[in-house]
Amino acid sequence: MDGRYGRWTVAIRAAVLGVMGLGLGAGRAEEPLHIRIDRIMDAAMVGGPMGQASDSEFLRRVCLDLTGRIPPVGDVRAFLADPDPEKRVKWIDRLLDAPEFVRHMATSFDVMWMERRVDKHVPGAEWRQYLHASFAADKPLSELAREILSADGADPARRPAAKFFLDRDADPDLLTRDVGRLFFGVDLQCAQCHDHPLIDDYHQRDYHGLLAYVNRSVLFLDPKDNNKALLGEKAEGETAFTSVFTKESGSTGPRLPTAEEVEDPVLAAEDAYLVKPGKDVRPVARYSRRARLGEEIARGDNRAFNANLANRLWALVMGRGLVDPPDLTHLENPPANAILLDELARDLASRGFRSRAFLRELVLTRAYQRSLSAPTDWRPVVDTASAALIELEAAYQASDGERHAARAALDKESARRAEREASVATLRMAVRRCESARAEADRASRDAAAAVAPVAAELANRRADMEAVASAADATAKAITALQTETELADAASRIQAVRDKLTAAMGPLEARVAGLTATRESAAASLAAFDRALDAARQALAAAVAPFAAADSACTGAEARFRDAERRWMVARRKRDDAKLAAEWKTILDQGPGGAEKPLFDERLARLEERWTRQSALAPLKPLTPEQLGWSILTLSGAVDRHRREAERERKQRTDAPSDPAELAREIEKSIFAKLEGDLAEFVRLFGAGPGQPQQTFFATVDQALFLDNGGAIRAWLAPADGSVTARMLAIEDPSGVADELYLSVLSRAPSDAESAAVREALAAAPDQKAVIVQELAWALVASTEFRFAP
Amino acid sequence: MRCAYACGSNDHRLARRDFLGGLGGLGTLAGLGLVTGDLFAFLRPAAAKQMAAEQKRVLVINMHGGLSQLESWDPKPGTPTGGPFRSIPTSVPGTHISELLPKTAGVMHHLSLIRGLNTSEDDHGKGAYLMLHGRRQSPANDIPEIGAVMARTLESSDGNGLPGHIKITAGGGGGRGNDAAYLGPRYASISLGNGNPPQYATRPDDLSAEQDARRQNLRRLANERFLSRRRTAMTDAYTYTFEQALRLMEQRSVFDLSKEPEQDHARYGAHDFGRHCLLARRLLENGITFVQVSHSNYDTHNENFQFHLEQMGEFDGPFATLIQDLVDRGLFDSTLVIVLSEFGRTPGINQLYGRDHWSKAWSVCVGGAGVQRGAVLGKTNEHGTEVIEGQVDHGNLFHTYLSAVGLDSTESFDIGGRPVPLADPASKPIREILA
Repeated sequence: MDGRYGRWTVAIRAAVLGVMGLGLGAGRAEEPLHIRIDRIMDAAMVGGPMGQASDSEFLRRVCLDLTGRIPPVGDVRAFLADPDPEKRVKWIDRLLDAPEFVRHMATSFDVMWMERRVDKHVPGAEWRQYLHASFAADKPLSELAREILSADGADPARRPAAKFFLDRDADPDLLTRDVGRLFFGVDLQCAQCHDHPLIDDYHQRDYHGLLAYVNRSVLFLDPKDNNKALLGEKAEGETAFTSVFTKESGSTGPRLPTAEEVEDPVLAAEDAYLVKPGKDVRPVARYSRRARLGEEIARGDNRAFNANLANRLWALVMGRGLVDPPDLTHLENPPANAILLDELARDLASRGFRSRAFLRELVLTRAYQRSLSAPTDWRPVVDTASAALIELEAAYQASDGERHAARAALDKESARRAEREASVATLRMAVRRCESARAEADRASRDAAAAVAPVAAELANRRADMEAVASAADATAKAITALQTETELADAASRIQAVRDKLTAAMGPLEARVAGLTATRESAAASLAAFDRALDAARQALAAAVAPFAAADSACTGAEARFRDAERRWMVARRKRDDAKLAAEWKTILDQGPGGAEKPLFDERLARLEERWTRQSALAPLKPLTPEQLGWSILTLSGAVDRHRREAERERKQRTDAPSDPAELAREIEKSIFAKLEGDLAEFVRLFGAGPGQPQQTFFATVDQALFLDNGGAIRAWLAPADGSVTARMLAIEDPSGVADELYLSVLSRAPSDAESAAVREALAAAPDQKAVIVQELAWALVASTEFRFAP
Repeated sequence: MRCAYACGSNDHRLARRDFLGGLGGLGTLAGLGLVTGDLFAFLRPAAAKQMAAEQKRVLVINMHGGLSQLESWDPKPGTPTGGPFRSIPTSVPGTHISELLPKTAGVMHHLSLIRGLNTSEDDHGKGAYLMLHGRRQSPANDIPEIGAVMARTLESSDGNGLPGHIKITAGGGGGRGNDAAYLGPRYASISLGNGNPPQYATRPDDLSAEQDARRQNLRRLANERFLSRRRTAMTDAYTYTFEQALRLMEQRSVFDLSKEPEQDHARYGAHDFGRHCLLARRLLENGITFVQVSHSNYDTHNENFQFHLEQMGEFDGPFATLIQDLVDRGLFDSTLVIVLSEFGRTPGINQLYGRDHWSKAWSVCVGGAGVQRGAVLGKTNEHGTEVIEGQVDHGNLFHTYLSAVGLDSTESFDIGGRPVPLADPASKPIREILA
């Protein structure tokens, strides 16, 4: 659809879209986002939600998602004991105000954008400090993205922002791929050499449109400053491409996914550079396409950018993006709920890309607070869902019809728009022709005026001469009359007469020339006036045509929006229908009994069923802890976090310059704890983190992780009964049930079941003289359990 | 600018079907590479299943720095470029190699030579990259090393608890390498220094076997309770690693070279390379899929001949012994052996009696699984300055390695719903060298 609009109409469209976007955003603000999310989710569900999370499940989940660690046991006890019916909201706000929230956001976005690449040009600590300061200030994410994508590293204050480009060595293909993946949710790598073979929506033109924004940037190592890396940017370099399959070729200027190509300003060659390229010189173009990239994003009306950001924030707390993997946005990999994703993207933009307020809404939803327990009996779900199949099939067919109708309407509007655009273009051409004709006449008129002037001046001179001669002759004639006998004087008089005659004779042609040139000048002026009138007429005609075009354009935009809506509804209807189909299949399996299908097939289908209902948000997903969440959780259990907190508090009390503002004090203390324990996270990152430059959200399990948990000296030390660790606390409790409570509340943030409590008592009773050993075994077993590894 | 991902249009069509088929909802789980029974077996390349029938292994010997082909596999004695060493006949009539490899000459009938290699890359890092990845390095396109590819595709479905991708290094050891790219850390190399077991494979002294067993049981009980609430492919993969870890700890002696008989230590030699070859034999025998041994230092810009005399002398014995042992123990037919380097060395001899980097015409030695015995493929000219017959490159080699262990090298991995070709789709195997 991208070729549909001429480049010169982009400005009109951008204005129209901007107005529309704002209007829609403002119009829907009456209801909180979390209510809207739940409404959209409920409408898309087949067979209903499975149940809500218990208080302990909720607290553990929200602590891990907002502060990056399990709740300290004191918080667990306090929360469970809190009788306030609104306590979940209260605690959400408390967690969002905690300095650990800022830390967790900075870490999450560092991992998301740098993907644990090894530091190259910008120290990781500076970059993380920059992110930390940005999230502490609740900087709009669009602004953060703008800074990151346009920084050149030269300004020391903004240098950390340049890490994204610099640490990728400004490699244009790597940047195109990573900017596409991480900021627009599209992995265009395969579209580099040809339209994507598997994804119809990824075109070579998309890849090169994005490439055009970054391929003028170059890595510059400053020889005068220890080869410090900076970004330079050239003022030239276009992107042209040829398909390796079809040999079709094309070229494109800078263009973002889902947007129009932007027009670069036209600069004279001598104005193209602020600093011209040269040996050991960092080129700085006057017009920076990289800066333009930042501006395009920060304007906040790019669909792909907004949706990607909303999707990634959703994934951050919901465990998985609506689009998953998050960098594979396209029609064949539809979002779990297309209507919701659209709503989230719009809402995020309308609230100025503030992540904190947005995340608050997400964790307030019932969808977020779902239980993770799969039903023990799927029959009611399957029955309801399969009973709805006929209805859902009909709804799907209807939505398919609506989608086709919307498509047809769009095609029609699009054709009309094209027609009007063509007529505008014709009229525009006519104006241009009139303009050039008028310019021609204007030039002729000015030429004619210029030609008359010198001849007229000469004529004037001659006339003056003539008058001088005439007056001299008159004076002579009077003298002759008076003297009568002076023959010399008579001679003189006749000579004067001769001069006079000669002058009179010369003046005739001159007068004729002036007359001729004057006539030419007058006719040129008249003709110019005619052209002026023609131009006016052409301009009026154009102006008259622009309004209908703008109307057609906005009608087309409206039709496109309606088509997209229809398409989103269709996607949701299709998914519901497919889920019901699966439920119907499963009903057959259940009816046949467990022996009806082979075990692997049974398991595979059960996994698929559970997966589908998780995608509907009927069931909470299992969320493997990130390396950092795992590390901070274990450090919390070890007592190290508490110990360093007490230390920092003591230290602050002794200091006279300690901040009096409690929030400021809390931030300082968190910084101090972080600085002390940061190093302990390295081993978790090394073992539980994916490789540098690889997507970090993919789960994997390796034997060296298990070996670390089994035998790692650090794990042993953290779970040893000392320094306020969980095992030290267990050891200090006499009552075996109390030990069980302390264990479960600390490690799993929940009270033990009766059976679990009994098992703890039994283990303690079996070796009464070895309590220190037993408490360690108990704590280790829970830390190494699946429940600990996967957030509730 | 070529796209290294996907360019064979037939593959694209095939992969598209797989891709769309995988979108039923399990696409995202495919990347886990699970080995939990048959649950997700249908997501793996079909060829990998065939492989389970006969377990194949791969041994790579990486000659660091750039082995001189003229002092090893493709000597040119008596020519201005030939250097001082003679060539000697081998166990394959008509095939001669450098006199620096007398013991290897005796096992040549098990091996084959590829003498027409032209890789056009004279930089150490880039040369090593393309030889181990089968493609040139491209920042936007991170791809797995041969060891990770083999560990993934040749992984046996029962799983022996041992890592599938091992690099034997001179010291240290235990850490996970960063060489598996999109295949994930599961297939990244574990480095073993001198027979040190993998990191954390030893139970702490203050934890008795009995205590460990007890806490492991408590862990299993806790899992049982949780898994009755929710069980997914991820939880299965996670719990499986603990059982794997226990089996690995039980089999720790696999990494313990002291368990090999004294006379074998003597046969392989007391130096690093000898011990590493013996360790490689032990690992391969114990079912580890991929083992890489390194030998250095071949970057002989000066005193090429002196260095090669020493280094080849060290290499020759253990290598020939290892080949003969693999043959004698019935492992050779199922183990692909590759002796490679990042490039060869210049035919021209410089002022310091050295040879410089040379990738235009050099050799690798292959043998074992799927490869012909005693063959020589490709030919360089009289002075070894150009390939005149059977020219191949790193892409052909990579396809050949995959084909040799029974894989279809035009297959694709399914990476989270994305089909990714195993090898450069623009290249193909060297059919002539395959058995």
